[in-house]
Amino acid sequence: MSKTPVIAFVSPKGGVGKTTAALTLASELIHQTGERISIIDADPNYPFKRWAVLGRKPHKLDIICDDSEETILDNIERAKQSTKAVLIDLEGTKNMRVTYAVSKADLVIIPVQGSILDANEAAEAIKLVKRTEKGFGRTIDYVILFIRLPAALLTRNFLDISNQLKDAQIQVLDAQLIEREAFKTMFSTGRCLHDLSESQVSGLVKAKADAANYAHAILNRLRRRHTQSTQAA
Amino acid sequence: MTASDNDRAKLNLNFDDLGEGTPMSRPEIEQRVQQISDEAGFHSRAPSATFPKSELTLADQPKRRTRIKTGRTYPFNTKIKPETYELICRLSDEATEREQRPVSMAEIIERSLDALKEAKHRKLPNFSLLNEGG
Repeated sequence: MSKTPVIAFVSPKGGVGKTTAALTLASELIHQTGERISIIDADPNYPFKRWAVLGRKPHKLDIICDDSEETILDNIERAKQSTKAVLIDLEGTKNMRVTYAVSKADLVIIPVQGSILDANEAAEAIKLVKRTEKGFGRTIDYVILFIRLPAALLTRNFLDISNQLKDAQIQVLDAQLIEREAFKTMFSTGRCLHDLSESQVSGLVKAKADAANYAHAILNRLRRRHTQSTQAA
Repeated sequence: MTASDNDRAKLNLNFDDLGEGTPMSRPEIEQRVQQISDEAGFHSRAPSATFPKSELTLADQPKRRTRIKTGRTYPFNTKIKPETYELICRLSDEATEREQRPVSMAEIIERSLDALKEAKHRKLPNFSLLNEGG
């Protein structure tokens, strides 16, 4: 019986925003729930380790640096015992550690920017989720997260991709992360979103509103699934 | 607190049971992950746990030539001209063929040094004396 949600950020393409999406969600969950959250840093570049080195990490956030596909299952189990939600930031390549993470995930978030290249890689991630579902005989929810969208207007590329996903009946999260300085500033300052001040970055209010909508959409999705599985039982 | 915080209920992370599927042993999980990853092209990064074993037994292996201890253990590394290197190789090959045993490049250098020493000690006619004697 699992009470701790495991959320994996997956895309075989690097630089799509997995790390930003993970830290934004962790920031919002800690801010709103006050609960202890863990992030498993499963990227060999260890972006969260470098972020934490700046020394401003909230004490409610545990960063677990994962070594390899041989250690990730144990790290997930340990994180589930000690925290209220486990977020896994994975490397942007096609490697077996991603399959291990997906096999334990309650929700797989696949970040996509408004580019057809990202969308193609997202399709690879979805295939992996579906194979893992079949192989393990359990439902693994997944959703596309549009990230780093331009604030001003929706591009034609974005609309094209959005329509293609809709036609393919691939679910897209009903909240998006707009390209905002505040999300980048978390990494340059070593702070979480809610520890930033207006003097450090402009547009913070909008970034916080985006983060809140995003976190609500994620938890609503988990809760819907929870209700469905309870009803099925 | 932001406007968005006020607009909606606070988030909470309390779930009764998210469902984990059928419990599996670790080897079973590893086997399934391996299979799924292979099919999806998500490759392992772990070094191969087992190296392919040689099918040859010790008895099958050809008997090796007994190594000769030459006593040459001191490393000597220097740059030489290509033609010098070719000459040492050629002398080594010729000596190996002539003497029907391996004659190394080191031995060729040693023999060359011996020849140089010998030439130095050999008494050569001092032609300058001829001029002095008139």
